[in-house]
Amino acid sequence: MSAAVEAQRRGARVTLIDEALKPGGQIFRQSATNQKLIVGLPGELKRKTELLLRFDAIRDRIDYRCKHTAYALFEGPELHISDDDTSEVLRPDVVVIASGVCERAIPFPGWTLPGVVYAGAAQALLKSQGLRFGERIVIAGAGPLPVAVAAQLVRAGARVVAVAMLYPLRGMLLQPWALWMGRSVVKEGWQYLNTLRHNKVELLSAMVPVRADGCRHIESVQLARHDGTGRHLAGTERRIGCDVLALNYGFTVNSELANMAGVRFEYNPGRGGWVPVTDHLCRTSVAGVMVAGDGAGLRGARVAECEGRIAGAAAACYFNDTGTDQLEQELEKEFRQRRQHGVFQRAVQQTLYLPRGVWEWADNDTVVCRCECISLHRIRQAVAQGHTSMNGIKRNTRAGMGWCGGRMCMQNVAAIATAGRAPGDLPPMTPRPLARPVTLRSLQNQRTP
Amino acid sequence: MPGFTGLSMSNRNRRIRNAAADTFGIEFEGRAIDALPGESVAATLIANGHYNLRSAEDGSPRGVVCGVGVCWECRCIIDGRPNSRACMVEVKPGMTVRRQRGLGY
Repeated sequence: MSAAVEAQRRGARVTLIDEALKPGGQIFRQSATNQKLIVGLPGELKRKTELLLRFDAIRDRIDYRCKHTAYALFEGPELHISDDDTSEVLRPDVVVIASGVCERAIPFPGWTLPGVVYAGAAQALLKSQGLRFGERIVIAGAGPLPVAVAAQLVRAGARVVAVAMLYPLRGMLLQPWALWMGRSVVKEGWQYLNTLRHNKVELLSAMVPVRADGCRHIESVQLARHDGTGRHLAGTERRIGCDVLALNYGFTVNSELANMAGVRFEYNPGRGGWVPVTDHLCRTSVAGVMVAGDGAGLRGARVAECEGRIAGAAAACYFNDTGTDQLEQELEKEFRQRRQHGVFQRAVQQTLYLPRGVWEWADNDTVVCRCECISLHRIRQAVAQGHTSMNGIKRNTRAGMGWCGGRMCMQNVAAIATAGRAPGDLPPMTPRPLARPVTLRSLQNQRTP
Repeated sequence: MPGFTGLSMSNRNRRIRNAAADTFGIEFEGRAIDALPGESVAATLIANGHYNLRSAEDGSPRGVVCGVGVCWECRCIIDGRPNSRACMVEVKPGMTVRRQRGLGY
């Protein structure tokens, strides 16, 4: 959105492809209904309103395609998109990918039961649907999202019984410089923690899930302390009854499109696994392909917003090399903001570091690849037989071949294949079109621009 | 501590909006449930206490996971069309939704 606004302002012809029904993306998600729902703190709401207003002002002047999916990107650039019934091939001068991240959880027995969800799902259903997902909610995870989601749910009147964190929150206090640089975010975090304290939500430090139990949906979760390396400590188990268990153990970058276009990648576990390499103006190693925001490595909503402006400006001047010096001068404020938030984000990324012991949570029968129902045992068996690359594991077991395109399990499969030691040694699976499921009807009804 | 089995089928606790005059009906697994305009099918089902939306190829029950259209775990048969993501389809009066078993064909 931010990139579209900036590029349009600089005179570019803009087409915006959005999978959602309404603009806003994940963070500034709008209510699907017409009722006003207040989720989040005043500061966040102010930024949301400002961006949506700026977007509304240009909406009629750009080609906004909501409910559209970009399912392939080739050099050129050549972008393939589809909606429910039709498809189209676009050949723009520049493609700015702002695909963001998706959530990540770690497999453990019972994690596929209905009611075991990602924390972002509970948040999205609250923001867009006005729904309190769960009557007794337990949240487990790492990093800042579990606390934020818990507080937002509590403020909406939901009953959150416990928040189990991988690391104690006080770890952040050891980095005063980072806290100062991210003080506006820290302030929000503090307000969220206060909400939890006032509402007597239990904050459980260094506790992680052992198993989820239930018949047709989750009825209880067993938690235990871990020994610092992620392994469960015997004798510390505790069972809590719940109908929703919301998980978030970090994120995976949605990188299929950049990968398909042949962009150079690097492995960065704190930033969401394999991430496209970009320069200061969001350009990649492939001409005409740019990546902005979390899609170029997890750094949070504020970096994404100012990086969108950078990418939009750079895209508008892409084939005008003479303007680069001037452009850099004009974007000085954005560069400074990105640097400032970057310091804080690096500290946040450390709280998302997964110790090796977490890969022992799953037992042999635990499903790792949800789409294809592939168990931990099956993946280990394939590795033992010599299928040690991601492509090899995929071909041998079908893990990562399903509906989600491997986005849900790819990072976990790499970690399991290397026992958590060096998932970065395994380059991602070769991305094949289609990056998203597309119906034959859509492909048949190809529109010509 | 005992498990939490009292999953309530009433929607009063889960919806922030009050069920108003514009409430309409849809059908899930042959039973009538109430929906509000603008909701996603997933929201309607969850509000009515239905978490189990699909059985996977190995027979295990599945429901909403990511809530934003990434994971495809909530796919069910909506108005006869299998593999429709409940979280991405807006609910409409008179819709029929069925649990999907396997590929749903």
